[in-house]
Amino acid sequence: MFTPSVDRRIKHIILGTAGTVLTAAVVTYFGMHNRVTDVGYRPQQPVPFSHKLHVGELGIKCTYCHAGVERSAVSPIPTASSCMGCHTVVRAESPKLALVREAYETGKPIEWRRVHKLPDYVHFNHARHIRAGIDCASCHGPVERMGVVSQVAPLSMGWCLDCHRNPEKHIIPARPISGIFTGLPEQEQPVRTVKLAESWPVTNPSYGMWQTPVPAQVIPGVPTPKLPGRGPENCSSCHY
Amino acid sequence: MQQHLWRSLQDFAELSPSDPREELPEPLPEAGVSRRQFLKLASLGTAMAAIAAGCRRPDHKLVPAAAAPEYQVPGLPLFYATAFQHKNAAYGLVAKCREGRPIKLEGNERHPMSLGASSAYAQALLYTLYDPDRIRRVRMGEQRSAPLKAALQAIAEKLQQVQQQGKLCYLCIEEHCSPSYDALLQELQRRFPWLRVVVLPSFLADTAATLNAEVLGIPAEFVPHLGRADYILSVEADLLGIDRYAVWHTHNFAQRRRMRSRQDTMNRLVAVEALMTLTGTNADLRLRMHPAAFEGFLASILLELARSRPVPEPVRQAASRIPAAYAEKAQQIAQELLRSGERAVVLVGAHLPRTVHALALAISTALGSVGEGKVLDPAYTLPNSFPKEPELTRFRQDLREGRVGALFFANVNPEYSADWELQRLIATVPWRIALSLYHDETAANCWIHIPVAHSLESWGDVMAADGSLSVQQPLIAPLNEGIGSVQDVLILLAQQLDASAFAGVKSYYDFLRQRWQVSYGITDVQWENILREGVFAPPRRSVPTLRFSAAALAAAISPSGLSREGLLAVALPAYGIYDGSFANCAWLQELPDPVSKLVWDNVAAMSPGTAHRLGLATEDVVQLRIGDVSVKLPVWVQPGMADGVILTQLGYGRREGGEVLKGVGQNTYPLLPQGRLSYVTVSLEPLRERYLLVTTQHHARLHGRPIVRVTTLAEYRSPEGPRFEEPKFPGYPSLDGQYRIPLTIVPPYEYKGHRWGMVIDMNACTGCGACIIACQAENNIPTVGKEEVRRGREMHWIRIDRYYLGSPDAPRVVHQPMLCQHCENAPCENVCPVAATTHSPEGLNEMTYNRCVGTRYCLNNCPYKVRRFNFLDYHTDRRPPKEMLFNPDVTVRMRGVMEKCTFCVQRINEAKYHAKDEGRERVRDGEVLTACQQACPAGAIVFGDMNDPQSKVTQLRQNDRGYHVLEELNVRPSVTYLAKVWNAQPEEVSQMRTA
Amino acid sequence: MAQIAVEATPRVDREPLRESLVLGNPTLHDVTEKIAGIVDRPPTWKYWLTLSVTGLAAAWGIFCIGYTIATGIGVWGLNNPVAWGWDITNFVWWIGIGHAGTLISAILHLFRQRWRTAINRSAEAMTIFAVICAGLFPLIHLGRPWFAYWLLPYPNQMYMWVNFRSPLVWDVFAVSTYLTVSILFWYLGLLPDLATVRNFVQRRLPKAIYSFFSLGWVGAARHWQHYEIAYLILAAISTPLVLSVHSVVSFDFAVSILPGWHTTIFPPYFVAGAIFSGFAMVLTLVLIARWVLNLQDFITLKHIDNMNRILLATGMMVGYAYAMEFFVAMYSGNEYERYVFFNRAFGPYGWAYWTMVFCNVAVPQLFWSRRLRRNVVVTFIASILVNIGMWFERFVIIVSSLHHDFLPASWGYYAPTWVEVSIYVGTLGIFFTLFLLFAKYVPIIAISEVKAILPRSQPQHHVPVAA
Repeated sequence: MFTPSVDRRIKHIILGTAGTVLTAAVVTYFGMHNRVTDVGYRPQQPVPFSHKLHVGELGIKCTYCHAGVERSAVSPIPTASSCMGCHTVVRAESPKLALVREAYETGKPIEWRRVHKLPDYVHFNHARHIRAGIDCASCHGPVERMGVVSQVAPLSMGWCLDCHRNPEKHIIPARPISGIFTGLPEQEQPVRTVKLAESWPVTNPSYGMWQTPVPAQVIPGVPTPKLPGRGPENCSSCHY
Repeated sequence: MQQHLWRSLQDFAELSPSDPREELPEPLPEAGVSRRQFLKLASLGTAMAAIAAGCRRPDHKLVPAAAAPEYQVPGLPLFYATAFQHKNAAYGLVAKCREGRPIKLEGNERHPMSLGASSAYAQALLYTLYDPDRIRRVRMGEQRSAPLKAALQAIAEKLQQVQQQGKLCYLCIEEHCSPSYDALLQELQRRFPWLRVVVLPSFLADTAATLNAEVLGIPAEFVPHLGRADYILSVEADLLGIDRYAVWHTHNFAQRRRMRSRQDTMNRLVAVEALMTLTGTNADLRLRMHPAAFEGFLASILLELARSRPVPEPVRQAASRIPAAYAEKAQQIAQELLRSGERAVVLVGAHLPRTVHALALAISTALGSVGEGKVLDPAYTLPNSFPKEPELTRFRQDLREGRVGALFFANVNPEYSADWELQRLIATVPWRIALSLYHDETAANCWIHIPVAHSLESWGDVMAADGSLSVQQPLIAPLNEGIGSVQDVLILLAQQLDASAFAGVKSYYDFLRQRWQVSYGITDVQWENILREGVFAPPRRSVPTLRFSAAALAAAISPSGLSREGLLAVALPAYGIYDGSFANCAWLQELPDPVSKLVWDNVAAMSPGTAHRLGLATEDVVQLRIGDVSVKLPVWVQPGMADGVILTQLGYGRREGGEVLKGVGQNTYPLLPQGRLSYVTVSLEPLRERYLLVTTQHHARLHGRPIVRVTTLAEYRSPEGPRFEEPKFPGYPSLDGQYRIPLTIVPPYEYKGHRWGMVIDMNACTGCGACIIACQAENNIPTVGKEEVRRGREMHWIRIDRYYLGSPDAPRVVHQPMLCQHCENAPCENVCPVAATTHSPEGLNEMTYNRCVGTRYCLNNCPYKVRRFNFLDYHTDRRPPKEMLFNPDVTVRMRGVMEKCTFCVQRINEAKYHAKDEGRERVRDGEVLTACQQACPAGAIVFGDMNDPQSKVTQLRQNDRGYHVLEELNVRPSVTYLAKVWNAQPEEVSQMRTA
Repeated sequence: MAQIAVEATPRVDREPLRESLVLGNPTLHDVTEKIAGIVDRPPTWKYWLTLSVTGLAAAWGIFCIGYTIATGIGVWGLNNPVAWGWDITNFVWWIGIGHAGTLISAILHLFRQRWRTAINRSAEAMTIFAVICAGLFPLIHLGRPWFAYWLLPYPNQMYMWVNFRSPLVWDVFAVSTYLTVSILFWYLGLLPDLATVRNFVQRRLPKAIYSFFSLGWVGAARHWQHYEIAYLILAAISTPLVLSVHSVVSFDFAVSILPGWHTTIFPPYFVAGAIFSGFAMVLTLVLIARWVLNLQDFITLKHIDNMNRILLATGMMVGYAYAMEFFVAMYSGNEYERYVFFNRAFGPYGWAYWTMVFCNVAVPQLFWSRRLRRNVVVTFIASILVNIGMWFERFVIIVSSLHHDFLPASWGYYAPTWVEVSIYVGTLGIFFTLFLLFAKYVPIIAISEVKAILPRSQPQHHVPVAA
């Protein structure tokens, strides 16, 4: 309806706006999207420790080194002494273990580089998830195949909620290799598997606090593994 | 919206078909692709993408211990029993430790004097432990950081010289209640005859002890057992306030006032006072009286009791001095006392003259309330409360005559608190050594200053008033470079002086352990158990026998010489920072005084009448002059005080010893004659200055609003029951909670599991404020400082509203703890635009800090104004080791976010975990204790599950005293208040209505 | 010849039926000359001086905003219980001012009020600038403004949505819609004039710019047809907005539980107030423009008269609302309500209340007299006073209700700090800077529309030619 030149100009303007909007949209999408979270983060560790070797090939359970994870909110990092538990005998001279030996002797701890990190205002509790029979791999991936551990899940709030809302879709049930409660019949159970019945409760109630830690009663229903129900979705179950 | 990388191992197998055992490629396929795509997009040059791409998160370190400590699992709490001595009052504590550091202190339920409760001081102990202002290194002369060994050698040499000169060495210690410490000191004195120990209290208050020594043959102060008293006549005895055993007193006092049903009995507290003490505010009947009238008042009561029996002459004379106005009251009270007989007691403030003490003791004895199993029980005496005067005079004498060659100050600060003469004498001593936590005034003037360990860092033992013993076990290695406690240092020094001393004792712990072995026969097994239990009652307790001497009592009664002319001033320990030893604790500095609600200052408090007579107003600065010393103080007009009396607080005006205490208030110790607590006649001159005072509450009137409900025992017991004032409000709910107008358009919440609620008994609450500090410690609540409080930005999640009912001269006082009510129809929830505050399935009103953008709309819409906003970054002081003070279970809030009481949701979650671990569906009643509830000595706060018909909360909510504050607004709070009941005659309660 | 001559001379010897809206009987060209001339003329030193003053104010305000964001809201005087102070007061005030524009252009247009043509352009411009200033406050009053985008519903990895129950979210929608529509409306109305200016100016760069923004308008009949339709549609769209925006803003308060806020009459009350303050601000600006650019012929006393009538009317509505609030409070039997209103008039903030009453209720009463309505000086002063009064109205509603609410123990007092004051001044600076730029570089009066109402464009009876 206008002169050609004007029309062209109008078209340009319209296209320009559309383009900007589109870009903005795309950027927002990716800016907010999990894929730009730390998935794939794979730092080199001071000690070239291979989960692939220890877990995958030697079949050491997760909970052997990360002892206490089934009781505590955090997953403990093995101490140098627990490494040396074996390595005083096995590969005692290996140069790769120099740092560990040093830590063991001097008591100066090893500084590992953290792979999985949640913000401080998120209270994730390992014990709760493990006791629900959720396998480590559900969040950490097949660590037993990783020479160098990398983050496989976005660990974003939406990702958490996906699982809390319909766990059956996302959860990997506990596997023997994790060493957490698997519900296998006693004799089949690997020696080092920590059974819930033996483990101490995560918390001490605010009464009778001076006895610590309080031995827990045997959980009814052992040893039948049950898939967890839906997780809580209200804010204060994680944020407080 | 986002798909998962892989859902199961099967997916994963498909994902890397070749060899399932092959190591994962890096970067992971999808992630890599996405990143590449993403970088393409980023190359569009849009800033956002650039930021998002640029923010690879920083490198975090994970540092495990080299060797695992026993029991410790990261993330799991450990609880240890320990002890706390507030001067010479002992409390049992339980410390919650995480990753090897104490993060919260609670009262030990098994300790007979703390009974699970704790005071603000006990809570604040943690703050002082992590106080960045504590000194870490030994100072020797000019040498800033000397090795301890060198310092000890130097000291030893000097001591040798002193000894050769035939001079004495004095060791000034604070008031304490540790038997082993005593034993250690005796051992030292035995070994080194030239060493003398003197207890150097910051203020002297041994009138009662002296009197007891003369009259009853017990050289100690009684710790009255209020649980046994039906009738308490308190003459300015601030048992519920600044008394060292206030926690225990409050517990016993409240025990008798819970009123679970109308049949329950209730004690009666009558306060006769010129000051407005916390105890006075809790009285059923409060008589405002000039101190000069006390003796007359008590004397005439005594006469009334004595009836025909002979009474010593001085009593008659004293009785004749009673003002006519009080004569009738005296009669009435005497009758009431008689009625209660041996379950009645008269208690007297430590600062009052000897005569008043004597008269009170006479009355109590006459009533028969002194003796085994009575209110004043010889079995309950304050350890080490023997008369201090003689020692001190001897000390002064030795100083005057220059017989002292060296002085040790162990956690005492005479340079600040002692009177001018003593300070001058001390200055004459050539070699002065300070052993203290802070570089305080005394340490600053000492030759050598050795920073000693905090009581939470060192071994020790304490004896409670009932003779039970507790072990104070260290919870963390000394933060001052491993230097031990006072006792450790003394032992080291002794061994330095004489190698043979303390053979086989490496540290105070060995000494302690050996002593317990010897004197109590404690085996290692028992020892372990005592450490777990935290308390040990020795089987054979020596209870002193009373030898009453009427003559001595009569002799003690003589005119006190307090005159009605002129102004009487008294300086008492401050409620928050006590005698100044807590002055560097910001928590206590910002703890509002329970009566005046003042923070960060001490004042010259006077009655409205006095202020009017002197033409003064609050914030005017005046100068109090006594003899040649004078103190400048701002005026505070305090309703309820007697005319012609001025109250001020000790502990302020410190000059050295930390950043917090600098420039806070005025030093009022000069007002103590010879360092003794007592009334003194002062002359007051107004200065043409104003000084800004800051309170947390500006309005004390109720404006006719039934926010607090009050009744008298008679009315409450009457068949028609209490007539509480109902709100004048349309659609106000009827008593069964049914709203006359259905005021909601949304369906009510259904609480399938728990439904958390709280009940606060205003009849038990004394307004002590322990809950405030407990909450502060538990929930990482910052202090904001005077200026910010002035702006009305204090952060306390729970506050205690104090309302005055009746005339400003003699008001009745009600304390009302106010915290988030976790409303069912929470006004704050609707208005938050980003859903940062929400309703939990268990009835909690959740506050999600990380979602909050800070519109402050919720605060505006909160009828209780209990939400707190971080206007600025209040966690500015990050000097080590301050950050160790934080509770790792609670997020530390940044500026710009709202926060508020969460009902200690972290504790609720922990309890739920525990229940699950034990295979329970529900949390047991009493399994969750909120921080405030746990600390509360009065047991006024009860928290629990309202869905559980058996729970205490559910039952208390049925109580006919129960009501909800502002329930007419239909916000349906989860907190129920129980109305206040005064055990008073109707005519005594001038102001029953809240108008 | 003579006949031709006679034919050629326009017949303006007759008085129009009603008072003319344009004086001095200009020809079409005169109009263009007059108004486009303003644009064409290079700015005088006076202009630069004023601009630099306002610009400085704006810069200072922006600096203070930066300071606030860097340090925290704590640099303001806000506290517990008064968590909203000058920030939201200014927000509501500016939004209110932003109302006149749309009202004049949309509603008066639909009512065929032709006198609007003289002022609608500047009114619309003012609206946009005011809304920009207003929009600033909700952003900077946040504790964490860098998360302001959380107030927009967008898909995110947190799976979090905004809380649609919150009036603040409604605000976001209402205000942004209003801004968009106002801009469109203003720009559309500008098209013909931009074209006129394009044709009028000689210099190359301006010509290029104006021709770009006039989107190739050539004034063809079809252009005019489309234009008229589009204009009518936009007018229809934005008419409800006039009412909706301030109603929604008033919900911020009406929806709350606070006595003094929780009032059902707020929506109409706020809208009336908004129009009131809007017209006052239009008057202030127009009178200045009229005097500086001597547009007396186009902005006649009749215009001023009309606007004053509106001031009088809306002023009385507002006054009625004030009275009604008190009546409702008294009648409700709600003690909190009663206290708040008593305290509002006789409490610590009484001075603010009475200032408000004087400015908003007393002052407009002057305009019962025709003489005063047509007195420029009086009108100017009155318009300023009304603006002050309306600012205090918002201040009183927000602060006096907050500082004494339910529990006496939590009562407090609020006073602003220099930062808040500076930011307010800053927004005034931004506003006037923008308006000055507008007044200089955009035809301040709708040329095309004015041309349409020239006496000579009026239909005239045929006058027989004298033989």
